[in-house]
Amino acid sequence: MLIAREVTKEYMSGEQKLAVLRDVTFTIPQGAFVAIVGPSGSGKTTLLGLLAGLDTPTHGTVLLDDADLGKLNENERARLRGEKVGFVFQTFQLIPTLTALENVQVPLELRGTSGATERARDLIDRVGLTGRSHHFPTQLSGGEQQRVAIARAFANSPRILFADEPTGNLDNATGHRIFELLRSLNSDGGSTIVLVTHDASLASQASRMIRLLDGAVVEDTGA
Amino acid sequence: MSSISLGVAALVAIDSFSTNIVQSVKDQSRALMGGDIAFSSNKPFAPATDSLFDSLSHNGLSFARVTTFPSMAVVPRTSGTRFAQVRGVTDNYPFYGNIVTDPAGSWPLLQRGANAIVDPGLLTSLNAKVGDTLKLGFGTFTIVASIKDVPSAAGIAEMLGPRIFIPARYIPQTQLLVFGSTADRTVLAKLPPRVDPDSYIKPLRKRFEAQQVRVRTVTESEMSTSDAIENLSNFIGIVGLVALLLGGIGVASGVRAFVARKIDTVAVLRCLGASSGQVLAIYVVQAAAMGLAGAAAGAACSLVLRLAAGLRWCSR
Repeated sequence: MLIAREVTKEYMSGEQKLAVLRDVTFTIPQGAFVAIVGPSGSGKTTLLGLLAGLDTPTHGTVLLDDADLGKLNENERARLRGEKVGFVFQTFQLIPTLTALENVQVPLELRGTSGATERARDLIDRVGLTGRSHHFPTQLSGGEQQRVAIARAFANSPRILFADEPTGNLDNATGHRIFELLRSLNSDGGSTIVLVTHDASLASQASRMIRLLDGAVVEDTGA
Repeated sequence: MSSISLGVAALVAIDSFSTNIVQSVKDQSRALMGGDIAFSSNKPFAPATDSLFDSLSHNGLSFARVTTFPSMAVVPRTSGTRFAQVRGVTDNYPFYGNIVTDPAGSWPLLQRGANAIVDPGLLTSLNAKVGDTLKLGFGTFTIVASIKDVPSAAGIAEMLGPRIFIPARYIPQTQLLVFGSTADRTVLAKLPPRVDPDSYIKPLRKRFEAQQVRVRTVTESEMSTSDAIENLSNFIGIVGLVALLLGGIGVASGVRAFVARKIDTVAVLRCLGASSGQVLAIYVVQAAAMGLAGAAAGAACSLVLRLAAGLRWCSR
């Protein structure tokens, strides 16, 4: 379960305080598929970073499975991310010097999981890239790279997966295929999916939508 | 990585070069000196000194004499003249080492008459050849060969003029050594086998030095040469080390640029759960591996160059 309580994030711009997020509050139960939407600059990516423990709020609390992320140091948050969180980025962010299989193995190797190769191979098969596991990211199409990224995100069977504009760099058809993959992983595996998107058609297919505007929640269909 | 390779190659080359030279000096120290003990003076030896040599020769020592002095050398056939270093040697010189001549095996011819064996540079500068007459002062000699290799160490004097070897008994004929003439007189002693030169000369050293005769054993010569080589090696080594340190600065900025290019990958690894220690270890290991590979390549390169230089030298 993911809980955000009066989450506020401010930055100093010269001598002025700039509030990127203001009193954002919601609860996302385990297994939900939530889309966070809003125009550019509304604070979607900042909120995602706070929910994932990549940053800490100026005020407020983020609880991930009862762990207060604000009270953990960076290495503790990193360990929590390795155990419970998966990421999918708009620009895929695969490590270019590793093959598709090796990229999926990275989170498993970081945790010291035994049988990392077999597990990675299984995930590559699940996203339909069996014959491309030894190819480097530059040898894969955008859609294939994103599928590798999704396989990597699910390597440690995360409780929650954060996807920041996962279809932003893909064509419509490929984007929809990726979205369907995420949805099937949510329904089959029970992982919570928090998807940040500006694509209204994708957002409408999620089970819940949280709309942000100027750093504040203006609509929450699941509230 | 290439900075480290070159720096390490230089240091390995310097170190192995000086080690080889020092070892070579040790192996050839007797040949370099020509004897076990050298007695030198720039004045004629006093009668007391000659008596001492005489009494020591009855104790099993052998003596060879080398008298070195400057002279103009003239080849009448070509009218060529050249400033040269004349070395009058007795027939048992040298005790150690081989003198290589051209034609080969001509060294024994030196003592068979008024003959001369000269540096090849002298033949060139005088436009002379083997068989020509050579005049030194009032002495007339026949050039019977040129020198290809002499084991004795080159001194400063030999930088000033090419060498001419003549039999010591013909020096008076030249009339070049008169009262006040400049000459270096050296008596080389060969000790009986297994006699330590330093222990032998210790009780006698003061008697020679009182006659203003410099005494030098093969060990002292070897140590002095080794010390000089070591000092030179240390100096060059420091230069090499400074070059390596400067190269290290280049490496440091290269590694910094490398890590800066990898910042996205670092961010992804942190998202995937890597701790700061894990990330640091990944890039420290990479940088260390590159440094180690560079150092190994530099050391290997230095060894290969050394072997190639050694093979080329042997084939000459």
